[in-house]
Amino acid sequence: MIKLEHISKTFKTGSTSQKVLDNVNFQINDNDFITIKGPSGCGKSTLLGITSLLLSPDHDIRSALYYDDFKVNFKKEKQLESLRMHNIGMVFQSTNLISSLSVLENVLLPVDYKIIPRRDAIEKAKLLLTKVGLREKKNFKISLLSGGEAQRVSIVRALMNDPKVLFCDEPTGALDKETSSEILELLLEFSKENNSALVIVTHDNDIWMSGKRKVILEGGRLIENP
Amino acid sequence: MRTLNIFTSYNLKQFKSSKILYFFICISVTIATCMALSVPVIINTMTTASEKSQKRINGADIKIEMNYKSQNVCDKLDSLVDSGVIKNYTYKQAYNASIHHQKNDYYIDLVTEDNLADNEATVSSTTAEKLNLHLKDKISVLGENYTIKSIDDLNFGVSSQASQLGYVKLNSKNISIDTKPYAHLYLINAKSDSSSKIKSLKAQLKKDFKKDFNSNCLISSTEDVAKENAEKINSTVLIINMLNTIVFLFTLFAIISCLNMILSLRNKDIAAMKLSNIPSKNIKNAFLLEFFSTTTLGIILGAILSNKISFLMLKYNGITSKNTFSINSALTIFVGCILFEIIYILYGFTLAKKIKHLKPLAVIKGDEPATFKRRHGFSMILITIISMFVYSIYVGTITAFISSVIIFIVLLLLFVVSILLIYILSSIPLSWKCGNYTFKKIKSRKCSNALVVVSLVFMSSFILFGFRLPQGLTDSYSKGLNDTLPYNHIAFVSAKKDFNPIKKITYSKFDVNFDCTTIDPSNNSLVPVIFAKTSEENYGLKYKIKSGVNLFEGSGVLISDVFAKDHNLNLRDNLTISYNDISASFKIKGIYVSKNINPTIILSDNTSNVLTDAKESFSKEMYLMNCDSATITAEAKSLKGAMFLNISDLNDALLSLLDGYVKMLRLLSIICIIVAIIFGLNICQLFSIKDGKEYAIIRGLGLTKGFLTCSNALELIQIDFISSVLSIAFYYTVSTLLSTNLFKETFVFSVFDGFLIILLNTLIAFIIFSKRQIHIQKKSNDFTLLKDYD
Repeated sequence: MIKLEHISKTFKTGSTSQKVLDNVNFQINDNDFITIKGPSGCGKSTLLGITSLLLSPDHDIRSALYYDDFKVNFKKEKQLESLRMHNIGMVFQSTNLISSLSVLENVLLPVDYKIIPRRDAIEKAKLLLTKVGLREKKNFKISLLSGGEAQRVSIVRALMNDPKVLFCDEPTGALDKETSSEILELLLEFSKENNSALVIVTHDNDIWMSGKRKVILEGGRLIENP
Repeated sequence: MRTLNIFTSYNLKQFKSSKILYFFICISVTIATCMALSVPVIINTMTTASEKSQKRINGADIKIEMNYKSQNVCDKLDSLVDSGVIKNYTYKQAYNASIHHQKNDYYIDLVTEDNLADNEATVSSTTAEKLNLHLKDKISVLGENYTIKSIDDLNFGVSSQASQLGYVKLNSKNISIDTKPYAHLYLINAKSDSSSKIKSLKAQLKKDFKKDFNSNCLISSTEDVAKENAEKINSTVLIINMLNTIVFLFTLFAIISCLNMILSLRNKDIAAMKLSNIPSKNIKNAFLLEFFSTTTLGIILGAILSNKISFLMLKYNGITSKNTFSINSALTIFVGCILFEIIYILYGFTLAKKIKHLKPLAVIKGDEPATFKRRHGFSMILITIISMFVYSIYVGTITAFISSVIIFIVLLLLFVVSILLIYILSSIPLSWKCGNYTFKKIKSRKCSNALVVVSLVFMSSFILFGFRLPQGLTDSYSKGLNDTLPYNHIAFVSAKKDFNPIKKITYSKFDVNFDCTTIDPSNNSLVPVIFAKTSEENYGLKYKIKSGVNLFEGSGVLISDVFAKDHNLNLRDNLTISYNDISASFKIKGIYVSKNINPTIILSDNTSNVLTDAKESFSKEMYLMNCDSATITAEAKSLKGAMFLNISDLNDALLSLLDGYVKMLRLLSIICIIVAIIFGLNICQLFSIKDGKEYAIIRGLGLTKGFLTCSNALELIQIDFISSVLSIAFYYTVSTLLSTNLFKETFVFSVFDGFLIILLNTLIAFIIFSKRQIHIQKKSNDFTLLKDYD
């Protein structure tokens, strides 16, 4: 469903430059469960950023990124926004919830009421919150939630638009082991229910090992199922 | 629709958390709009008022003002009436006099008005304003009491001097003043009202009276009055709009900095929304909706307040219409509101581009996005210049744009100089840790600090312009007079009356002939002069000699510097002075300094000649005295028909020229103070927000609150020092320019003014930075700020 061909990414700071991704070829299929690990600074987040259309790769005639056989043009902002809205959900280590809004309001924020009517969106949100055990806290302010609870809210928010792929960048990085397991289970459950692919970038070896496709990123290159 | 959803779910809820910043934005918009919308209403009202009164201001279709009475002119005008060329004419006279009010005497011009009854008087609005006079009040002029029948809100049918210095009108029967009128007015009504016919009549009169007119004679028509009014309106617009521009620019800085801060504070929220796949366009539009709701409120409040401002400004310009509100003004204000909404829309759009360019991944990683790109700065400057130009079209005069550009350049210069001074002072190497840290911090935000300095400079300067400049100009002018004139009182007394100055004071006494004339060599026109002779024992106070010899050295006469310049006369030139059929020729042996007071006086010693020997021609005596007013005896003061002139009254009279402008400056300086304080507090608030994390880091490293307090104080002292120096320099420069151009005197800068500037700057800087100190005391150990995530 998502295909990366000959993708490279170089970061320039002043007079120095660092090639973080070097000629990466990668594919994400429907219902995939992919875990990616690698040493710090190896480009995991960069790979995730490019795949989720938040970062643009180095310009190269050979390089291309496809969404359902549609070649992405990184210069067209509107196209990127549309692809993200209809295909991608994202979960990060820091939950990035808006502190001045309640749980329900945070979850409803990304919903376009032209596509999902408001009433249906609220019902869906409540359903998802029930699944993560936070229905009673739907009107709570974010600051009143624990780290795990906040991460669950951010997962629910990511799922509201029925994404085809869920990208998670160290979703359990700030959580304890027990909570991390809970979060992982939740992610797997949701991806199965929605028939969406799940891509997790992680430092945690246990989580990495749980992936159906395991990928290591090292020296800018991808090694799959080592 | 989606924008509205985001606005209602997110932006509406942010008002509370950003309430202080939005308060600053709203109040800044209110003040800017209020000032700006009052200008076109003022211009329209002044123009309408003057258009309706042009003929009344001139006194008639054509006004001739001469400094002597010409029989030829009277005869010619009579013949023009008889032949039907003109409908009629009125003859008036203008005198130098004084009005006694609340135990003091004030200089005024006295103009005859035969429509008034014996006990009635009309006063000019400037005189009424100055002496707090109202209808039916009693005033004392030349020892007689009169009731004020009317107050001329504009200067109607008077001499040019009277219109500048203020006047009282009395019936000519009441005037038995022991002095000659300084001006003779002929107010001529044409047969037809047509402007072309009046123009050709004026040309004809100029031609007919060519030999009678000297360089001091004036002829004006209603068209000339219209031009003069237009110039006056332009001067008023220039001043108001300069201050309007200052207010607009400072409020704009406040608005932009607040908006920038709001966006910075919401970087993470915006990143989160973008990561939640909400399109940038919707986020941006929701933010703009939030911003415009505040600016709209500010604009509406400003529109309501502008009526009050325009009322006050018009009052200071002598137009006391109770209500400036009309359909026209309502429409003008409505158009102005739309204009300002568009201007703020443009600024909002430019700033909101940050939302589009914000990289959400970088934000959540903790990279600080650029707060203000250079291209945004250029866009802002361009929008500002275009706004000023469009505003001048709205106001209806290019003067508005010119004055705005002048202020913009002055502000820019001050800004650049401030940055340079800040940079230089912050580059002083210090081994002291706190000082080193502070100077590096100041250098990194030199632009913001420079803006604070500029706002303080304008604030303190305008306080002084409004409340101290008139005194400063008076003192400078007085000093100039005291340094050059030997006297501070003049008295003109009838030769038959008994006046004995107090024995202990030094004085000069002259016998004076008011009815002499001479010929201007440059154009052969007749020039009236005052011939004054004295003896050596009566010449106690001596005039300062500019060139040549003193009165009792050599033979000849002394003329004034002004007279010499006006008629192109030099030392050793011959001057023929005539009285009736008598003429005598004199050599100019000296030129004395007159400071333009009675410059037509020709001084002679008692040397015998046909003129000095004609004793009956010397009907008056002139006394020059140097003493305080109390010393001149009550008896002397009550001498009816005598004219006493205190030279310092001239200061007041001359300063009344600036009266309207000074009052405007005072009102506008109050607004400038408010704007400067708001701007300063706003910058302080922004610093507090930005510095919060840095304070926590410093405290987390083990440094004390005392370190931060010391750093705060050092920054305050630097800003205070630079703003005080620049304020003094700016105030002195502008005051000197005014004093030199208006009164040809060097401005005397008083130590008190310098002290006041320093005090004002220190006070405001202290208020602004004490707020930061409170933040340091309460929040510098908030270590939750050190966490990277929520």
